[in-house]
Amino acid sequence: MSDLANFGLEQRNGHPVARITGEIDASNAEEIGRRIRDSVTNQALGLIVDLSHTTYIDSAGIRLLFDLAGRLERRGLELHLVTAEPSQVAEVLDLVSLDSVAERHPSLAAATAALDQD
Amino acid sequence: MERSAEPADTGASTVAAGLQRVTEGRLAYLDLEDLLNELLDATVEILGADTAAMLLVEDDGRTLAARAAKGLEAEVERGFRLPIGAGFAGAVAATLKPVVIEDLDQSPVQVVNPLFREVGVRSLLGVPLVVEGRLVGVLHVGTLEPRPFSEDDIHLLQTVADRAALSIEHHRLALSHRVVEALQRGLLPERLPHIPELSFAARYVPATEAASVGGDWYDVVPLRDGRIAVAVGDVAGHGVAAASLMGELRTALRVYGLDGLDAAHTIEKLARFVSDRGIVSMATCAYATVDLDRSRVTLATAGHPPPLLVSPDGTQFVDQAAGPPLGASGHHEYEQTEFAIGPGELLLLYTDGLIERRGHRLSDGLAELAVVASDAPLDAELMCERVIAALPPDGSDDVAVLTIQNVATANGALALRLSARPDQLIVVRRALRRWLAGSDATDADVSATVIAANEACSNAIEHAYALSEASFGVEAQRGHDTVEVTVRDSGSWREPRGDHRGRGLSLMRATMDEVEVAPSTGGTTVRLVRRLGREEL
Repeated sequence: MSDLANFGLEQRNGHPVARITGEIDASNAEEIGRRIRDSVTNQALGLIVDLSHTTYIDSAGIRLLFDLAGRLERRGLELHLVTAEPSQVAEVLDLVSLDSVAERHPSLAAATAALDQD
Repeated sequence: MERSAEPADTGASTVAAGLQRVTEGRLAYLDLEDLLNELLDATVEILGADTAAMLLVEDDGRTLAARAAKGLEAEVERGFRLPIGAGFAGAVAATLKPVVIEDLDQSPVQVVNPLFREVGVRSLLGVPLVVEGRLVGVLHVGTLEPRPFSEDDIHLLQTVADRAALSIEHHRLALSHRVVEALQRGLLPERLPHIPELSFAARYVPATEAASVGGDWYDVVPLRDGRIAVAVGDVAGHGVAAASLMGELRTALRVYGLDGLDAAHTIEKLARFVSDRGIVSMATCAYATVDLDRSRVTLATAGHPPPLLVSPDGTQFVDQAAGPPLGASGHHEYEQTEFAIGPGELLLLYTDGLIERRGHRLSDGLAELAVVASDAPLDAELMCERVIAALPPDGSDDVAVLTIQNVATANGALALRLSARPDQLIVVRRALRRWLAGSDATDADVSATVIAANEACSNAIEHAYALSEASFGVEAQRGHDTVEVTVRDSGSWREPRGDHRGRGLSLMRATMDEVEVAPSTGGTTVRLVRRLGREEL
């Protein structure tokens, strides 16, 4: 991965949380997508992608999110996103109507709670 | 080979021609084995001998090794060696005098090499190869019939040997010089990185005196936080040792710089690296980080001459807080100096080989450099060329020159030319953010412009997939209340395919007021315009 972004993985209440700090663009989107996909275990009920520290996302990043949502859906899993409001990421995801395929939350706690309820 | 036992054909022309072969300039370009064989061919011809062999002193200084032979090829094949002092060749080497064996069958000299008898050599004449009083090897000739070598023969062979010794020694020096030079060039950056707002050029001229090729280096390293680090350095000493140390310092400096430390602390760490390693050699270094956002340079130096800042308004040496050279004993703290580098201004870093001339004062060299630089074109490449041409290295020391110019345009427009690679997108985004900062563009305006330009550039990069050295261009201009960005590539536009591919285009349309895509056979131009002053994307 280029120096643009850092990838972190943790667990919250048994749910995988992939956090990306930095910028996502065509130079690193593919690898980030791969790492996120690798973080989903068989036991997972869903996946949280924490974009609250992501400072930029472009169409390549958006593509990976849609792709991810599709894959998870085929496995009966949900994709939850954490985005800071307001932020470039939030505005861009609004523009492309990403909430048609993934639920967005203003905090990690809210995202975790949503998955707990399922 | 059958020959009559006659004295050497001392016909003047044969001898002259033979000697000529021994000293031909082209011998310098042959590898050592070919060189020795050429020398032996000439020797056999000049002396009218049946066999000839060249033994050279090994690195231990105590052993002779057969390196080439005529009529005695097995000597080389068998890797024949003998200690100086032993046998025939050893005797020549030990006494540094010619030795004659008139008839091997009756020789009092112990001949160690069984090959002579195997081949049927009867008479031998051997002479030492000496350069500046130092033994380099032994040259001997033999005949298959007994032959009384005359004083003339001995003198002739010695002359051949003297010339041959010089050729061999010259060859060794040149080889060593080439090795060091190759090592150094291998350690220097092949190409300077391309950073749109900065223009770089560099020259490295190695010392021509073989013993002096040493450890000068230059480097340009983009740091993680967007600053650019630049450095020049000079390791004392010469040869492989200096070049190796240079490589280590260059690597260490890169690592410390990439750790994100400021210039002073980076140099301090480098100084500690040198003293911790117990490195005895000293080195000088000038290290600077360029902050493009603020158009400022932070500089720290260790025993190094002051960089020169050249601007359209004047030329001056940077008033540096110079620290001691790396490797100077004791723990040292280093200071840093900060100064502005405005649009068009150029920073010149160099090593002391540029300003030092034997018999001239350093201050004169510095003054001359300042004059040359202020007259030179204010362009990174041309400045480098002019400086080297006006202050030509005299060959006694390496010279490294590095120029860095701030090429952000002063007239308000932005113009970038970038390689068509995805890792260049961040460069475009940073440049645009910087360009729009402090203007009347709102945060939303900046965000929107960056999003749209990024998508257009992303497409340009995708279009260029088939071209190996493709580049694309980004221009940005301000209108009264608009900003216009134009992205040009030389690839071929492809209609977006698949569910996701059209997103780039829709992002452009959602954020900009005008989006014009003009594909042509030569490439695609995308024009984006946004009216400024809005609070949302």
